[in-house]
Amino acid sequence: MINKVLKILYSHRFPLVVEKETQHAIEEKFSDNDVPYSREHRLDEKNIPDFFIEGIAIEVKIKGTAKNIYRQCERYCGFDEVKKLILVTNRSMGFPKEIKGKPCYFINIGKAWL
Amino acid sequence: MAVRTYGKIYLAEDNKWHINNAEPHVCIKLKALFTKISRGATQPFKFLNTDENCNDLLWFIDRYPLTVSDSDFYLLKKGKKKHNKDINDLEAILLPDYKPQVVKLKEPYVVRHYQLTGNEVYLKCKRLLIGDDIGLGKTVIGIISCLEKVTRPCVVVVQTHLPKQWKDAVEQFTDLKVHLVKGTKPYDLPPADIYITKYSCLSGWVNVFEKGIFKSAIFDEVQELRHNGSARYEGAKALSNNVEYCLALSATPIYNMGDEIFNVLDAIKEGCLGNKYDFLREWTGGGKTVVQPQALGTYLRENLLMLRRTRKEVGMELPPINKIVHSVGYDENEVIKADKLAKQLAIKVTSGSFMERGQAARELDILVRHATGVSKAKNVAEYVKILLENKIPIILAGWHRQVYDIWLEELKEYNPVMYTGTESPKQKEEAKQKFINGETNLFIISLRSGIGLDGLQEVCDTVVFGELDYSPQVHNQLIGRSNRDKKDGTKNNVTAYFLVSEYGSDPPIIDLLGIKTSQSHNIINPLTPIEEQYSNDSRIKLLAERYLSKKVIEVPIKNETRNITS
Repeated sequence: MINKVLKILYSHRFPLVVEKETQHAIEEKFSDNDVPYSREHRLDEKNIPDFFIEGIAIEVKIKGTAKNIYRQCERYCGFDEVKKLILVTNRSMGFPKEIKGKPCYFINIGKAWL
Repeated sequence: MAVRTYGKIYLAEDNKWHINNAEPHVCIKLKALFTKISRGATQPFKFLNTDENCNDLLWFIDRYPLTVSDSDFYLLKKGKKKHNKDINDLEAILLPDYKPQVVKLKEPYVVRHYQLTGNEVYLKCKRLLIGDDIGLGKTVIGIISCLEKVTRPCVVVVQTHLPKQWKDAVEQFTDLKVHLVKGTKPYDLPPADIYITKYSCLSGWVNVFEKGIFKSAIFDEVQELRHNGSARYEGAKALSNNVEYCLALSATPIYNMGDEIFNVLDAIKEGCLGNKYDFLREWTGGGKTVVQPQALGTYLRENLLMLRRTRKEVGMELPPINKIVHSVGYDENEVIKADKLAKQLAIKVTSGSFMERGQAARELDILVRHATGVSKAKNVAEYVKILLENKIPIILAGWHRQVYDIWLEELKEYNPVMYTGTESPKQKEEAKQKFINGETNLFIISLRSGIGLDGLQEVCDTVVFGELDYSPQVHNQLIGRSNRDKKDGTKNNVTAYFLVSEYGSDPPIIDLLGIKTSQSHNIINPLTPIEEQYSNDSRIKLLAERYLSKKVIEVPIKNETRNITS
């Protein structure tokens, strides 16, 4: 599943200005490709990744500082039900391959627009 | 019961509609609705006698009845009717089964259907931006528009290196007389149908433009007018405001952020997007990024401010461009050299005075871009060797002189030719001929030297970006050198390699390029679904294997194609 999801996220062009539009476009692609996603999955009251697919938490970030984005991802990785994490963003930033022992993937959706 | 009136309207001797004796609250309303009337203007308020104004004035009279004579009321209604008819006619022109009037060119040349309709729309609208895809023959639309008497004499404004190309094209297709305007100092112009000048020369000719002797203006590659406030921009406006017809041509009118479209369109049709403050407030929220680019694009189309046809729409589709983003390594020594100075500048950027901050930021940008290019130059050369060893002709694009020097040294066995700002037009032509004749497979070009360059597509379908530009349209223009129709009618399957570094300026430039491309795409193609990015690296893998089998050595580069950065 992770490869399928990564391929979808990597190979399409998504809007880069308004975060909601980006999420909406991603959701459309997931639907088109029969990906069994759930939206706004509640890990708890405060931690709600944008998409959740069979243990993969996906966070879409168009704005925000690198530090805050990392902290948010770090919190998600603290939950047992999160097995892997994908950060989808349009900004270049360092991102570790693992957080709390969970594999993490970084996708810069800006590259698809080159 | 008599209708209460709030003032009086009449067609005056100056052939303008005058509104007089209007009550104060009506004056306020009038100024709010017709923003071209300045706030401080006093009565009578004057409107040009155009069909569009007749339509608007009738609408205003409907809300605030004004005293009007029967004959004037008839003229207003006639203007309104003509305006509506023109809109319907325009819509009809764009229908697929529309049969445009045939325009004859010199034998054996024939004007394509979409070029004819583009010309007809322009002649009806009088002011239009044509944004047809690269290679669809926008120049021909400009040329055939000059075959109409009403548009002559015409001034064609082009980029510095294109006057001769335009003159040749006009003379190739028509018998129109062309004069190349020389310099910025006005002189007695000889009689001609078309006067070709450069953007850089416009400012010197403002007084001549204001005499109103020219009937039309064509701005080729109109993205040159994306910045206002410059002498060239003011010159362009002076020309535009003193001609009846104004045509702008560019497949890439937005080079950077969406707000640029304001300056471009305001130059050819003043006020068509409101004033700058209104535009920025309503469309960009005060910034540079258009918040709803598709809505803006749709508005431009619906109001026929811009006409754009893609290759697909006109049945001349090219195969998709295969774009491969490949991370290459970098020379750490070069990075260390630049790091010390970069650190000093970075400190100034964050803590210096206002002036120091600005200057340091610019210097830092230049330094980091330069260091990025130099640090990856050898790795780029290694990558390029894979293609060259497989006898594939390539266009290699860069920006810095020092980067070219490294490439020239590393790739000297392949006899590279250069097409950059340093070469004279003659040397450039020689370089082009050598490449086309197969004397070399390596054509090193400056990122910004490619506009209008034709002929490379005959031998080359591969473009490699060894350095990045801040504008995505610069990349597209360069790819367009290979991605255009060949003489024999066949089409290339173009591959573009973006060789990027994980260090320095490349990552933030990529971020910015993404936003800029999405802005431009959505404004220019509001109704077209976002294209998928086509990326297939199987060919380069195959070439690399062949290269290694020839060399029988260890893998020469440490790079890897990375789809996902982590």
